[in-house]
Amino acid sequence: MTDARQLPPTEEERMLEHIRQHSHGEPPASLDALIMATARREAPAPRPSLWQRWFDLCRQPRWQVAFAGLFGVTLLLGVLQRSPEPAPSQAFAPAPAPVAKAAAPQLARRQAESAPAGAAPAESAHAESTMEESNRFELAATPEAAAGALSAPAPAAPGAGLPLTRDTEAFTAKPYESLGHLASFPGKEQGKEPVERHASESILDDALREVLRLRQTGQDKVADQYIIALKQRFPDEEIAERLEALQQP
Amino acid sequence: MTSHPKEFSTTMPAANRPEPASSDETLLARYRAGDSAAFEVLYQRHRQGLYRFLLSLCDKTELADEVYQDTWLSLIRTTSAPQGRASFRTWLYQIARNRLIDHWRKHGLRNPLHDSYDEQLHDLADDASGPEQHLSLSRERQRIDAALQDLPADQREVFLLRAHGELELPQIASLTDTPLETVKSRFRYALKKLRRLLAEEVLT
Repeated sequence: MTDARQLPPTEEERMLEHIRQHSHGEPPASLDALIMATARREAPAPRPSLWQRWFDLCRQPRWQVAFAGLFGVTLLLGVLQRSPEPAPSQAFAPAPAPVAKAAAPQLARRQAESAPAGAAPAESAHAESTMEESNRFELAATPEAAAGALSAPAPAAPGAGLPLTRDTEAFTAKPYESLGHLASFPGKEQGKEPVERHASESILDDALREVLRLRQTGQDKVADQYIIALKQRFPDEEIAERLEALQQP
Repeated sequence: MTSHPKEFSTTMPAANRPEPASSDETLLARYRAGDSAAFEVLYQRHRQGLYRFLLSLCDKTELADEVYQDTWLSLIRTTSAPQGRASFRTWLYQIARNRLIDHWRKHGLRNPLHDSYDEQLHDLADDASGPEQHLSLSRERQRIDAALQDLPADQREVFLLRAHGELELPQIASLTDTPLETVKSRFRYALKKLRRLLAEEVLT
């Protein structure tokens, strides 16, 4: 078994140092230049910093779209979460008595403007006498109120929460369970085109059938309110006679 | 035998060398990250030892230049790195050694590093290169060159890796894929023979 460590370290080191000191040979300068130039030329491109890479990434169109989409969704979620639940406004709730009383003259004046000249005084007087109902009708008669009635709290009147609309087709397709429907329907029948007048009569018949149904189910009070409202809206019609005619088989 | 002009090396032994600011592996990693200045430091650190190792091993300047250039260009262009516990220095000298062996194979030359030989036989005095040959050498460097060339190729390789590569014997064993005891034996015989050859020249 041979072992280099058996040699005295000083002797070994002395020999190695002697050889190193007297060795010769240097790579040619041209070789050095060639190798260094190759190393510089073929050195990998320095890796950009994290921010530089992020910036480069953001400049790519597909990532721009992705980031914009993400930003949009985030913004939408933020807006939705910050938006309070729309509280029921005063316009959708039953108005307090003082407000209703203050609004009654305006209602009468508006109805007088829309009614025929002969019927205007009676219309106005009737509106004042039935202030509570008129207030309710007025709230439901405006388009804004009709739309707001969808989310209004449960009204005291039967069927007040049902959709209210001026659309004739929708109006005839659904049973009249709301007095607001009747109130919102135009009362001026004279001077109308035959087609519109026929539609009004058909609507009146439907409403009277609903009155009959209410009476058959024992809701006489509601039926009476329907009759009153129908008389307001169709003053020229003989409500009682048409009702009796409808009762006959 | 190749003769060279007298030149004194300023190479310091590894034990006396100041601790480098950055390790070879760190410099290589920095170069791979795009820092070309790191390669300059790495190159300056190893250029002389590697070149002298190749020149002493093959004893042909043109071949040493070619293998030296191939070694560094291979290092520049490869993306691999020293694996496991291998140091950069071991890796570099292994690349150079493999390039030299490839050259010998390519030109149909017998690889002297793979010659099998009897260690005890080579421990005997080399009659073929007697003291008469060395009498004509007047300068120390030429004597050393002659003594190194008198060594068997595998002993010379181990000694040169130790002297110029400043590798430890276990690293040389790993690099040459040779048992450690064999490497120790080769180194011991090389030292003995060099000592004898140089002493004989001094005496004569």
